[in-house]
Amino acid sequence: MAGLSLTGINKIYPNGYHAVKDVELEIRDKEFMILVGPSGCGKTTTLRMIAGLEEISKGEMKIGERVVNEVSPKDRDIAMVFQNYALYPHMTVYDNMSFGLKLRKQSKEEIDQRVTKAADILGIEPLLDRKPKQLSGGQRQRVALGRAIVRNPQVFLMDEPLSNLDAKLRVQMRAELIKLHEELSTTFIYVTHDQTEAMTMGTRICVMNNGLIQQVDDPHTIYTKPANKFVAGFIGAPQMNFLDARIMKMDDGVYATFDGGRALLSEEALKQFESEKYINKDVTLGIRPEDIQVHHDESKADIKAKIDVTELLGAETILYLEMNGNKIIAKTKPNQSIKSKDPVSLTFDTTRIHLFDKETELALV
Amino acid sequence: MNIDRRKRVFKKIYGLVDGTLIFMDSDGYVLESSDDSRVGGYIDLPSFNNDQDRIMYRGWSFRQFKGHDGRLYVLALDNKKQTTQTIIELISIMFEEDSDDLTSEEVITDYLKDRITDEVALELAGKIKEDLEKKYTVCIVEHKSGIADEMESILRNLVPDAYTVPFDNTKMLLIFKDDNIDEVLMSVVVAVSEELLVEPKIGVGTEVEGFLKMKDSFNDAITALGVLKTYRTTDKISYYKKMALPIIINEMPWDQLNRIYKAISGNIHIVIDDDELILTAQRFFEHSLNVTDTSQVLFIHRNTLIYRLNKIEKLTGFDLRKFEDALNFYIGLYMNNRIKQ
Repeated sequence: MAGLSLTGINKIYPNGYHAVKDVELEIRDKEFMILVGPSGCGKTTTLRMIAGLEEISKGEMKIGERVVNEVSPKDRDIAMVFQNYALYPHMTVYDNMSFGLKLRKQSKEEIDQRVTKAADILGIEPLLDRKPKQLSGGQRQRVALGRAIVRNPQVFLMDEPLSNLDAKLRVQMRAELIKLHEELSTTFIYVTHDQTEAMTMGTRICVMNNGLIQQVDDPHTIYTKPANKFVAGFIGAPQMNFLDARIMKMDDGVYATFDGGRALLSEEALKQFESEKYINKDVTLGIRPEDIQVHHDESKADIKAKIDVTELLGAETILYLEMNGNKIIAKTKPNQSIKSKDPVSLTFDTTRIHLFDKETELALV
Repeated sequence: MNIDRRKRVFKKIYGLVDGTLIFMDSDGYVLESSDDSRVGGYIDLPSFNNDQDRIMYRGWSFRQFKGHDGRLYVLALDNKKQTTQTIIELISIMFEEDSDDLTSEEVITDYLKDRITDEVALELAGKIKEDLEKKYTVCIVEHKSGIADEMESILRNLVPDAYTVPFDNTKMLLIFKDDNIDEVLMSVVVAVSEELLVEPKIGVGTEVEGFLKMKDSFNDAITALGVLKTYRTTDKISYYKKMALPIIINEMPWDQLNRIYKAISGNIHIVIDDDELILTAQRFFEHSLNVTDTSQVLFIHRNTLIYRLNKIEKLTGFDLRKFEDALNFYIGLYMNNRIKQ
């Protein structure tokens, strides 16, 4: 069993910079946990503390049942794949993968068995006699993974391993890493700033910002029930739309009103927060681009807008709209007739509206 | 063998001997001892006459011998038995006879640590048939303490064609005799990181021609490493030849540095402790003053980045979107770093 537990983990640098603040995180055995967030959020520092590359300033870390704060990195039974994975240029693929095992004086038979098995899993057996300069980018990435796999660690750590690859290769390697995780059945902890990677690869996602954990959940929950405005804005492409709104009680129900329109809040939504306390109070309304219906007929809905820019992506169209001084993004099916400067009307799917407290930015609905 | 190898051999021997065994230089300075408390201290040595190389003195057996570096060393053992004298004789003979058995790496170590003069270095290099006109590039690989043996193992296996020289308990020297070291150095960083989960820092000296010029390359590597640790704390490899600006700042006389800093830095001090603004500026420089790329990597809207750049301009007077302002701000940051150090 090799789950990981971080309790009250802090990292404070000598200059006083508090990079990671009171991180509490349980990573289950065999889980694919993604640490995601913007540059400087603390995700890489957290990973480095797990690896032992950074000392933990405060808090406790366990791998399995073992407290590992003071355990030397090389004795933690983890393998790390770095962003700049650099293969050893004068060695064959086989020698690259067996290098660490030879240093540890493993027997020839054991080395051969592990390298062959890892190469088989990665689909690079035919490449074992080649040198790195004879390999494609994706093949080199696989060899770098192979170096980690042959160590049979309890935990794999990966620090943005795909960020140096071109977009097409990145997509391909994402799928391969998911397969690899299933095949190896080992705990993976993966750092990325790319929210698409996070959503497609993780069994659970830990979103971080400013050294703090914002939310830890499976991808679907992170997307549909973001805990705060930051998570809501960070996850999802295009980003969620945010509007200043006010909660108003009308004769026919409770509305979130904003410049240019209003949205009726459902009974279910009202149950989720103390709505009475928020009557006549300002909140932030969030709505995802795909939850906005765009009508070419201006009269079809109450919210009026004008198209600024259209982005035809083939399977869908992204519309950049101007609505009463607010910039809105909507996602629609491809529509050849819609063009820039066209006036349109909008319907918000009120079952998909998010509300956030104006001050705390915590999710209300 | 050189003095480092003698020390290592000595450590293996003294456990086999009854009594306190001491290895010192001719002034009585204790280099190694089976009694740790004596190391670094001094022993009151007897005087050896010209023809004498062994003395019994105050219950100790002393044996003097000459090292390959021309210096005199002394072994001492505090045991009066006949066998004691035999033991010490054996050890001394081994050290003495082995004076000629030098490796290139040992000669290089002694030369770079100033244990031997240029003349002795050249003589010894000639003896071991080292090509005196070859090109060398000295790299210093700095690592945390306690892993020197593992580091040496990795480097020797990874870069068999280079000289691997343990320098002290946190530094290894890699001395290359050919080109294309960039790729190799990157793989050194990766290998050490993956195998030991330790991140080394590497300072790379300039390429020099001739055995004696190796010291220049070594000194350049020291400077490059120092610059890396002071100014580019997240980088792993620092090349002397690419570090013009920080090297110039690092080597500037203190008064001159302060005077220039005062003249060009404007109001940088107002933002110097603002982590968000400084991070913004650094990323902006790293992405060649490109607003789009910088905002993406910081995960902020372009407008937010522009707001921050405007804020920096308002507070400091530097508009980082203009090259000259960016350059002066950049230099100011380096200078501030050195002043803080």
